[in-house]
Amino acid sequence: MGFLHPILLAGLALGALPIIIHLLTRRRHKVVRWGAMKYLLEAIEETSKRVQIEDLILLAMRVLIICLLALAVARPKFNRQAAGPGPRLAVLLVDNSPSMQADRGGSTRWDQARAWARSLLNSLPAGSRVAVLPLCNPTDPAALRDPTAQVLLAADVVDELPASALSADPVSAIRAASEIVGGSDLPNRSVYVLSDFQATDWRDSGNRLADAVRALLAQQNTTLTAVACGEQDRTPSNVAVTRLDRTWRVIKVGRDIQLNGELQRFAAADGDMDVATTIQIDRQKADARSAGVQASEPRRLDYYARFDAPGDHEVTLQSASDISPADNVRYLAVEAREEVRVLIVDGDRHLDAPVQSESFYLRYALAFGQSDAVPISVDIIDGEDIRNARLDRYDVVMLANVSQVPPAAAGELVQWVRAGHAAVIFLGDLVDTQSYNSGFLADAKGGFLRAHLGAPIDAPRDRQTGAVGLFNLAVASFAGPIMTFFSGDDLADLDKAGFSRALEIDLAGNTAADNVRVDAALSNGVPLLVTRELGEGRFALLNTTADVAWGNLAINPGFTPMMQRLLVWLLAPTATSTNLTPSQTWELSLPLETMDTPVTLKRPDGRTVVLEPVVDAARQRAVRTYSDTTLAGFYRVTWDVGDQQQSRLFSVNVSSREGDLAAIDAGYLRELAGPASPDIVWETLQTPADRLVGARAGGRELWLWVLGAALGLLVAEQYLGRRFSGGTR
Amino acid sequence: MPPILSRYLRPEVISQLERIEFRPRGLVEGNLAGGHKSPFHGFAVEFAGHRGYVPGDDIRHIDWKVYYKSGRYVLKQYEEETNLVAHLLLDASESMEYGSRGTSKLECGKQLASALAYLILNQRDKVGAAIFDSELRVTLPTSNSIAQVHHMMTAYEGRGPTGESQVGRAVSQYAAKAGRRGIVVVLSDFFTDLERLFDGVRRLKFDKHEVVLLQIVDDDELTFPLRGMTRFVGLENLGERIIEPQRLRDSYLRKFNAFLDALTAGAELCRADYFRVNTSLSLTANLVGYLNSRPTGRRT
Repeated sequence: MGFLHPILLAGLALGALPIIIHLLTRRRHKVVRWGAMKYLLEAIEETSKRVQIEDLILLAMRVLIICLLALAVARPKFNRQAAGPGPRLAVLLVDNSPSMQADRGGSTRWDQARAWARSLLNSLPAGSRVAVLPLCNPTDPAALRDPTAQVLLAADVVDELPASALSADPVSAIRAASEIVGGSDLPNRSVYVLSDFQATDWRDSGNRLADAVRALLAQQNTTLTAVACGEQDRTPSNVAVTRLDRTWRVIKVGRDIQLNGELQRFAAADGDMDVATTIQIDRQKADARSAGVQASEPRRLDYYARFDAPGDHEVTLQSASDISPADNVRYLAVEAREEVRVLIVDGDRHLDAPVQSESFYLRYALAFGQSDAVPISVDIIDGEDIRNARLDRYDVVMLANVSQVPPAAAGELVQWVRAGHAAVIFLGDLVDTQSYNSGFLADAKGGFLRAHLGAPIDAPRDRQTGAVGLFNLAVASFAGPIMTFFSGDDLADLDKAGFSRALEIDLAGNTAADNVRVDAALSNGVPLLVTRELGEGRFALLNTTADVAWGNLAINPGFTPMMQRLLVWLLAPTATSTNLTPSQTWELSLPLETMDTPVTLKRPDGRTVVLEPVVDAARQRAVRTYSDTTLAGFYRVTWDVGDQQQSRLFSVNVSSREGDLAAIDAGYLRELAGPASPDIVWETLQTPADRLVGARAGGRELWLWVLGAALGLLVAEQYLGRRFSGGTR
Repeated sequence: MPPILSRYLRPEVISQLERIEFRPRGLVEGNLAGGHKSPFHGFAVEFAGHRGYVPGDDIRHIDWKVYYKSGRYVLKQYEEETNLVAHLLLDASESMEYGSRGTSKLECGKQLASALAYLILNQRDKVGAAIFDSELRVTLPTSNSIAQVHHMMTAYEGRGPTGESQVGRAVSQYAAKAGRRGIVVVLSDFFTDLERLFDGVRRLKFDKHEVVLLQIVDDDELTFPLRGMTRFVGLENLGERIIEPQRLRDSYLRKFNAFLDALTAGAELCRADYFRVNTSLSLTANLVGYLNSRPTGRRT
């Protein structure tokens, strides 16, 4: 037991007041000369003992009431570990996740939490130290990690904490708080968590969170005060836009294209709810839909829009306003182009006899019967020119019988694919398998995949005629979206394709997580087509030549549709590098000549940042990265090349789980804390911050209880006084 | 009207008394022919009956008409009407000092005695008076003169409440000198030894007096409404106490009502009339209340 204001215990002396008043009252009385004294004396004789006892009881109660009031003013508190009043360490973890933007009685949870935090700071005793960390990203530069005694500074930090698109990261935040607490020499330490305690963030952290909380509370004289900023008694109904993407990765200018949106309704009760949505392109309304959304399942909606000019475009899907505005919008950065640009790197190019070139067959296969919706333009370069290739001008790169690729160019090509593009490799006699095995195919993380190209396998010749033997395609081995298209009567004569040679390919080094798939194999079991979704992009390896050197596939009727199916698959969208999750790093790789070129980035909040380049020696590129992608919205990067301004656009979206406003309760947190659960205080924003100042200092304030006891005694004293006086008081 | 008279007999009281008659409950002995039944059967105005002649009887009372008709000597007998003699005994002890509304019980007693005296004298009856505390202090012989009222008031004047109240002793003393039967009205709060009081009453009753106990009490004594820290100074040397009266109101009222019950029961046992005079009521109201409580018919 301790007192916040022990000096006020001097007020206990006031307990003598009722005794003094009693004595004074006996001195100040009126005088009555009474005739019927005999009967009065008899009454006094009869009641004197009872009256004396009653007087004593009332006097004791009055003394006790005053003493209790004096105690209450001295702010008693119960300390588990003898924490005394005085300066203390307060670590504020303020939830700045998107769900904190939810409306709460006219203002946002975020605003109310910050106001509460300021109130708490104002209530701290002199000499206290304060640290302020955002719950979503405790390493944010805006955080105040070093405890300061300047409460005003801390209040400013609270005011200027940015709202983030990140989800809450309670584990990291509590660990960071634990470090700060551990480094403090102040005897009393309190960690205040101002959060809506979204279950998706807190519950899913599981054991890691339990460990973090227990480690924090294991430190001496440390309490954890949870200040719930959301609705505790119910889960508000909320509709969120959880997805926005497009069917094709490359969007053609001037054509209606399909955009796919998804709505999800998070609510405790079932039932349909009509939700109006609008899609905007470059802030101009392009399409609108209204649809019923059930609480139990996501609702997918298709929109149609047209992009009138090539370049980057901002696509926004917005749902009708509801309690949580942060999840009512989703952003998509897209690039509209006139065509799909394919670069064929021909390692066996014959300008004088094009038909002997690998690119000859590929070019016609890609150009044949192409859809007007996806026009394809093809550029062809020699194998040696790949090191100077401007990959940023293309969507797909096809290497055909290229002997080897310099390591820098190979590394850049892999990164380029990982960033959301596509590559295809055709093998051939010119291929330096050693170079490939140590480069592209060295490992699954740094290369396209882990594969080992072995010795050529030739189909056995006919023993009688001596004719060249051929392997066939094993139709039964067809897998994946490219090859399963060809089945039954729709084989397009692919079953008649013959292969005279192939390389041994060992794929054993890949794991299931590497996502490597054999889409087709030869009749001898050697893989013919190996594919992999790689980062944001896609990769395909064909164990044959693009011409007729290793077989007749290039002149088989099925070659053209197979190449077109391959192209469709390569261009199918994945989560691209232009649409990030919060705090994901965005990278801009430019030629070294741009080292001195200023590149600026404009954030969704209007701030402009200059991106400084770093030389990537391996790739011989000037690389600029940006990691502070904690705001949802569009980020536009611009730089000048000569007289022309270049730009890139990318978007950041909040997690689709932010829409689920269901929260954990005090019981869950205490369960996590285990034996340390008594050191957890669960409050709401309704609790005055100054009342918690005592509770956080290693104990719980008792003044309210003491005051209640005093009031209870007062009521009892009034009742007894009235009763003792025969109801005439 | 002399000032002393106006103090005890107010005109409005007198005007009320003009319309009221004070009659004894039974027979009274007076020395004048009056308006009340006398216990003495004699030869006066109102015929009562005959009795046989015995030698020595005055032959003037022989009913000759009976003799002529029957040849027997009988004497005529008459009921004698005589005047009422009322004795008004006023308690002037210290306990009569209390008065919550500006008029003490003693003052109330004096006014009441004066009014009764006036009423009785106005009927050509006789009034005697006495003032007592622990013993008789002043005794006024009976008189049917209206001046008796003045004498009473003069005796009352300056007689403040003093001494201990011993009503029984005073009544006994007065009984010894009361003379022939009449009405003895005792005006007191009777805060005294009730046993001794009723001894005196029984003595009066033995002498054939009609006894009327008029208890004069203050409303505060009946209801005990006092509040706040109070020092009660006991009159008649009963000490003092500082108490909160509301704390023992119930107990006091229980005791006081027990005393009233004992007084009422004792009076009934002694066949004495008992009437309680509340000083919070007007004198007229108290007087009319008392007189109305008395029977009005003549008794034979």
